[in-house]
Amino acid sequence: MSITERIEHLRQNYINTKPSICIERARIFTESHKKTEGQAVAVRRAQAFHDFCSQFDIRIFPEELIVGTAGKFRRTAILTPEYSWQWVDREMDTFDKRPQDPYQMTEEQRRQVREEIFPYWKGQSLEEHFLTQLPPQTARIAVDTGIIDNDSKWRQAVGEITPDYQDVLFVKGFGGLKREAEERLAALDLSLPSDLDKSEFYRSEILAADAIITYARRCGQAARRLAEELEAGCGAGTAGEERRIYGGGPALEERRKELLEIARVCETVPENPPSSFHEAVQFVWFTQLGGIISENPLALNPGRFDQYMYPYYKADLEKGVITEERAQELVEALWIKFSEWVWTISSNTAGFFAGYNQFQNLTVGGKTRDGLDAVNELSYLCLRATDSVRTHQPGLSVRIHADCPPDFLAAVCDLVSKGTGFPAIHGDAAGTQMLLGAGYEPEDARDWNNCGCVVPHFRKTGQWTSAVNVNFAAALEYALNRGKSRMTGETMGLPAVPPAEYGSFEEVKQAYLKQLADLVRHSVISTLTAQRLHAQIVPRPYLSLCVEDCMEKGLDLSRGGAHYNIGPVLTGIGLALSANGLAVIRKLVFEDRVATLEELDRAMAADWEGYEELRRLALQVPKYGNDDDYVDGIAVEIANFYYRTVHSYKDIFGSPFNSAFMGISNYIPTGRVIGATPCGRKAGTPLTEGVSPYAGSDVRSPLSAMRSAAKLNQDVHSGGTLLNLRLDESLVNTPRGRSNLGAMIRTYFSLGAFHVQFNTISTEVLRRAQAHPEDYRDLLVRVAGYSTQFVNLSPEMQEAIIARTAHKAY
Amino acid sequence: MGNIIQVQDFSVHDGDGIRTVIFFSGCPLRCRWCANPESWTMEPKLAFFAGKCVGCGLCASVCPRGLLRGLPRDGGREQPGAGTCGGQDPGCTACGLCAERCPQGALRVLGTAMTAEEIVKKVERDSIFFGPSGGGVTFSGGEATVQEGFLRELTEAFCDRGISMWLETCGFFPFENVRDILLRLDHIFFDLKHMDTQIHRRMTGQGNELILENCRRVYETGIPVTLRIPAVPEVNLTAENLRAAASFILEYTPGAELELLPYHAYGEEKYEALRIGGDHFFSIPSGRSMEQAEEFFRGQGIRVVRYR
Repeated sequence: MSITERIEHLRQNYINTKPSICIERARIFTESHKKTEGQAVAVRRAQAFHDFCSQFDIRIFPEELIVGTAGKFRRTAILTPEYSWQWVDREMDTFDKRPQDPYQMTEEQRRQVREEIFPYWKGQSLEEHFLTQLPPQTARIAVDTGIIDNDSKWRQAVGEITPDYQDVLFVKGFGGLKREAEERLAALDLSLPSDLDKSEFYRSEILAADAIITYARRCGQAARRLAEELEAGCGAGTAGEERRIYGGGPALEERRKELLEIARVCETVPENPPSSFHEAVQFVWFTQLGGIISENPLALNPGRFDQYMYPYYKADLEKGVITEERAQELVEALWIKFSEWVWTISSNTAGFFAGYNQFQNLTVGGKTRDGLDAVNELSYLCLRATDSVRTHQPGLSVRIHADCPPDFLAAVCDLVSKGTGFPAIHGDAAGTQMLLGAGYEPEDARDWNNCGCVVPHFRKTGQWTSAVNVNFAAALEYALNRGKSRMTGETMGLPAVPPAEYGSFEEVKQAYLKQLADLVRHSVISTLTAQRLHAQIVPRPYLSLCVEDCMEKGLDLSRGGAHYNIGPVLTGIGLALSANGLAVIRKLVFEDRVATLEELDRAMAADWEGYEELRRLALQVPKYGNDDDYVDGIAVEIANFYYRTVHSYKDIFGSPFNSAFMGISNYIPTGRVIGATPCGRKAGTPLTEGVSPYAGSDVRSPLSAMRSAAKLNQDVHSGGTLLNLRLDESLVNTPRGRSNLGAMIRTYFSLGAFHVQFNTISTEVLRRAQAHPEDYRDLLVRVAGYSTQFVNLSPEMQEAIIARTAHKAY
Repeated sequence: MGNIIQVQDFSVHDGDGIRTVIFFSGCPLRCRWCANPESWTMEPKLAFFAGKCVGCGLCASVCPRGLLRGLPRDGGREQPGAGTCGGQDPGCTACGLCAERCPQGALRVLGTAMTAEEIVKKVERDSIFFGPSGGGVTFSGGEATVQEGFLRELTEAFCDRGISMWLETCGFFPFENVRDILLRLDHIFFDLKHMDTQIHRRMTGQGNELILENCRRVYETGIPVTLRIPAVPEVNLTAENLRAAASFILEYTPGAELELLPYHAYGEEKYEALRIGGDHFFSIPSGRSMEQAEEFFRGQGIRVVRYR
């Protein structure tokens, strides 16, 4: 239950409102671009952002404490046609009907979009450029196939930024950044070609900084206006609603004063550095909002909130201007803001990133840059806020180091036991090691936060943290099926010999790895193509303000402006499934010789129909997740190979690509395009996510699942690793149970692991929620690396969640 | 070599922390409410879960002893139970070939022989989870003291490795024979099933005299003891028995803590699978009656705990 009645009202509104598309952002950006033709693209984008911030009809909604939206609705989704518009054109007629992440959109909106907005972008969007320029051999396997998937990198903005509050934003404010850009612009020598480039950049920075300041001031004006309307007794709009909510007495007067304070805050930040906790919270939301309006980004991370907010909290407490309760109310109001806006994505992308998830990851705990324990009162307050409002955002992550305070671990386990799937729990040492491996300085490596779901990240970084999803099961399919897809019969992989010609397990394995290497190669080509186009077409003036060194270098984020440029992350999907499949081939075909590869091939082609006995034998072969080296060893070998292969390629900035086994919801769409697999899996069903076992196959105990996962040299996969486990809720509903959970977590991390997350809701509860979704609107579950409302998942996704083995104690 | 039902890691209700429980075969008692009837005797047993059987007859096709009870001569194989002797034929040695063959998982061998070394190796692997949680091993069963020599071998091995050892015992053992073993343990769960020896005999097959005496002697060794009452409403959750138990505890084991374990019917399926007849079913105590009983003991000044 929310900390105050007001927050509970906001929360109910969030739970019970379907997201709506607002076309204002697309409309104003389009109008602006029509007026700026011929100018530098960065300047055009910054001007369009500025136009929105100056023209958008800002609203404050009833009872709001933290203010500002990216559209006309509280739960607003926006359109960004400069990235892509074709899929919107194709899909928007069914936006409200699609199974995963539907949006509301009116007939009139669709007409306006089709007649007034999209025609301007025809041939101009990132998507069209990408599809034109992508080499055909790669396009065949990388565009909407579920084999190699990176559509979020050419249908969407990149996101994947952690604004630097510590060294940039809270120090300089956007006002300071604007002045800095002006000074740097004035100091340029325009007779130098490099300075000409920089002048474009600085002009875009000045516009972008001024834009967000303007937006904030206009919020302040709106708050002031609302206060005046309340005083004048106006009965319409927000004022009318607030008069009804607060009544006419002292409560209304208090609200009026609060609005004046909100106005003052908005007129102060983010132009200036914050001087109070309230200002700092509103600053964070404005910063976030700037990112949303300019890009509609995935994974714009609030980062180490408990660290950069603590000084303001502490100072306000000491001055006596804030109470713990008031601070939590502000934080909960921010959590609701994070959750209200909606990432607009195609139905394909929604399959990969289900549940209206924006992947704004907020990290608490861990170590300081000096290596001391970083837990403070705000770390606990954030856990409490998430427990209290049960919003699906921010993605709450915790860092647990070996000497972490027992109270903090207990608080973490307590939140786990509530069954929300929060927080995502990370091993501090593995995260730091991943960053050291990626080339960070030790202090920076200790200062990591999570990006998106489970990518260890640092705020001074430009990186595509979720560049491509690579379908490992496809490599196995092509190796065993002469390079062809079982479902379509099309040749998708490299040529391969007929199954009968493999003479040993080693040959099969090598054939698999060869196919996998080919998928990596196409992933790289697809990423490089997109990276080049981002630099040309969709520079990021606003977010370049938020990351250190762009200003110093005079270089946009998309062109390598950040202090660190780290290589894109290629995420492997279906690791456990591939290992299980190869283990079946090794055992049944080459060791026990109970079946030939041809028979196995026929069985898979028939989706096991008529081969029940062979399938039974296949299911009996040891499965990854049970601490059995027979199969875990294969998983380790595949993962090591994947790391070496991925790491051998470099991106447009010369940085090596990074490997990852994270989750998102990608194991479902990637499974849809894969026929039956040797492990006994049926065609079209989900693969495996991250380093998790195949759903339901980790039958021994969670300890065994953890051991299997920890064998994978997780710390080289610097794009992150993910383990999801379901625990029976009875296991964590006593203090003793939660203490054991804490011990499990500590032990898992001592083995070198990076992440684990728990769902602790019983199957019965999930079934009830399926039958009566109206009663379970706020039921959060862990999808993979993030939590979202169970009822917002498609039935297929819901079944996949239920299928994960629930571990019970004996 | 010892006879073991199973070695179960990630057990969290059998002592402190995360524990690995070693279930021994063999028990001197026959408690009517027993949830592990497969552990009564030493030998492995073939269990037949009729509900899963589809009558395919594959089991019969692999039985080395040709035990084909119930198999129709021709056709009609859809009859559940067709083909298997279900472990009931006196000639069945529970070799397990039929269970391996069974595509439905309807046949399972319960119990196996293991060496101390095998068990120690498995436990050592689990032991990384013991430290942070305060866990260890728990000897359970059956009744672990029945295999006295094997238990001694294990306790010596775990003692050398510094692994915490807890024991769950019915208390029916010759004290002097196992004294050295007990002294190596970190904690003992000791069952007080009924204070009336007549009822005790009727319900478990043995009187309680030896058990109560052992209880006193175990307590006197100074090893921490948790007394356990398996709470079965019809049998021992009576006011009279609770009073008697309380006065015993206060008189003879005043520092021992007490845990009430609610009866559950999870063993039901196993009775059927092992074709053990007789009445083994009781009513499950309500949460309220458990709390009332706990409250009663607390009122008597006895420390009541829950390892859950």
